[in-house]
Amino acid sequence: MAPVFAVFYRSLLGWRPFAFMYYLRALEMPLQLACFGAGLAAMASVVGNQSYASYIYPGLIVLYLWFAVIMEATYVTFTKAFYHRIWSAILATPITLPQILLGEQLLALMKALTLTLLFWPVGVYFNLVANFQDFLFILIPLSIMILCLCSFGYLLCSLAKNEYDFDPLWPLLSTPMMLTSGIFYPVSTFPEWVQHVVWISPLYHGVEIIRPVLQGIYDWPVIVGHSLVLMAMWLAFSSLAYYQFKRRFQE
Amino acid sequence: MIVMGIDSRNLQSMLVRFGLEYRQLWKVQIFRDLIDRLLYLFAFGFGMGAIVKTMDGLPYIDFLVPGIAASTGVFVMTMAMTYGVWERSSSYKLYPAWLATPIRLPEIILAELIYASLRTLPSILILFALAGIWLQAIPSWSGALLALPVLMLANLAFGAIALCFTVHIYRPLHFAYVNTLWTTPMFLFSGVFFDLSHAPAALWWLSQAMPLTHVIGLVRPLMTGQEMSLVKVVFDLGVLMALFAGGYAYAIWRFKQRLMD
Repeated sequence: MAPVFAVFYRSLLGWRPFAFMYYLRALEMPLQLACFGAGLAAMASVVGNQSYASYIYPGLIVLYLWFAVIMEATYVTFTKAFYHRIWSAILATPITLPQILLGEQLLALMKALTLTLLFWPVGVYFNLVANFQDFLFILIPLSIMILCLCSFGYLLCSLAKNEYDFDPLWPLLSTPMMLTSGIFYPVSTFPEWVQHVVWISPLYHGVEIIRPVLQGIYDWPVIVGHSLVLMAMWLAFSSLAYYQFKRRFQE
Repeated sequence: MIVMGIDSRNLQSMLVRFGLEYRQLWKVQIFRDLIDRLLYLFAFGFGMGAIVKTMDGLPYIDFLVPGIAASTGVFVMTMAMTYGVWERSSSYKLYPAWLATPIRLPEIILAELIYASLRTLPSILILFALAGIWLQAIPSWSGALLALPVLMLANLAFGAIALCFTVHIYRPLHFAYVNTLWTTPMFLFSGVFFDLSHAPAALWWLSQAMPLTHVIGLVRPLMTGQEMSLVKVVFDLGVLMALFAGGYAYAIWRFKQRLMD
């Protein structure tokens, strides 16, 4: 494990000057809640038996994690791996590619989880979190989701020829996922075929797990089922990313 | 012809140059706009539309379309006038190259603003076509046509404000502040998604400080056929013109100082 932590520590040192910018996005969450909570709540007061603000709070957590993780796993990782050739330099040492990927994923996980913790006081301020234990519990399924998103980003990174290759990600993937994963409104409001397609969205599984938990409801079959899907996605994306990166570094 | 220090021939040359650039980009951009607009309308039509039926006496989707049209300019202009201008002036050093010709800085900046503003037009027209024909969400087509020049003026104002940030930023990383502290709050609190008369007093006052509120205040009544008072029209147009003129003048003054450094 020592090489993994060496990669983790090296990347952490490199990321330190950008940490403030990374956590700055936590400021946007209260703005969104104020907008949708205070503004739209007058019209969309209740979804099921929840207030609208408490409905979108878990969705916003997942959405912010998506943006934070995918930006780092695509543009930033591509720059490190292929522009600055840092990964090639590391590979010239006894450290191997799986160790680099694991070290980088660990750092992504640490950053995303600390960002998630910043959302807790926001939830408390808007009276959206029942208790801190529930909030701590969601860090477990969110960790699997973060790793899944991160490995998906690495897969894209391993396939990209230049940084502009990531541009279609936003209209073709990010926006559809944002709008259909049950973040702002229930998936049940969509036609049936959309409700089936949305199963391929990791954000949907993340939201489905943490929304009831933040209300103090632990539906274990739901939690375990969606977590297993996320885990399967993580393993699939990680394996494909590893295979692709290996091919590229061997070329 | 020279008007207020702008030589129309130089401005024309710059616009031709940007037009040639756009020839390489238009297919991808229009495809992206089309997908983006389709998704938004689909999602809001089914998703949010299922929760919020009406807003301010209008079907929710009718209420939303003018807001989305107005906010298009916020994002496109801010991106173009922050990252775009940075790339051209600092990374690719195009500004020094252009300034080595008879073209002057006010002409370059004005051409940048006009070009970026016109680039939003296909996106807005696609939105109008999809919303109007597919969702029947534009009650007044003549109003929608009248809204286009207002949106173009608004774009110039948004672009000029974004330039005021750009001339003070020395690392592109810091453009993230512009998104977090300016465009996101403006997008959320200017009445794109909800009727401001339902907002708490503090939020209402905050919204009045956002230029987008004044754009929506003009565009929404035009497109939905709601009543408009002449005083409000003059006031909102005045705000947009003042922001454009003030932002443009300040950005040029500061940019000149920077280029001479």
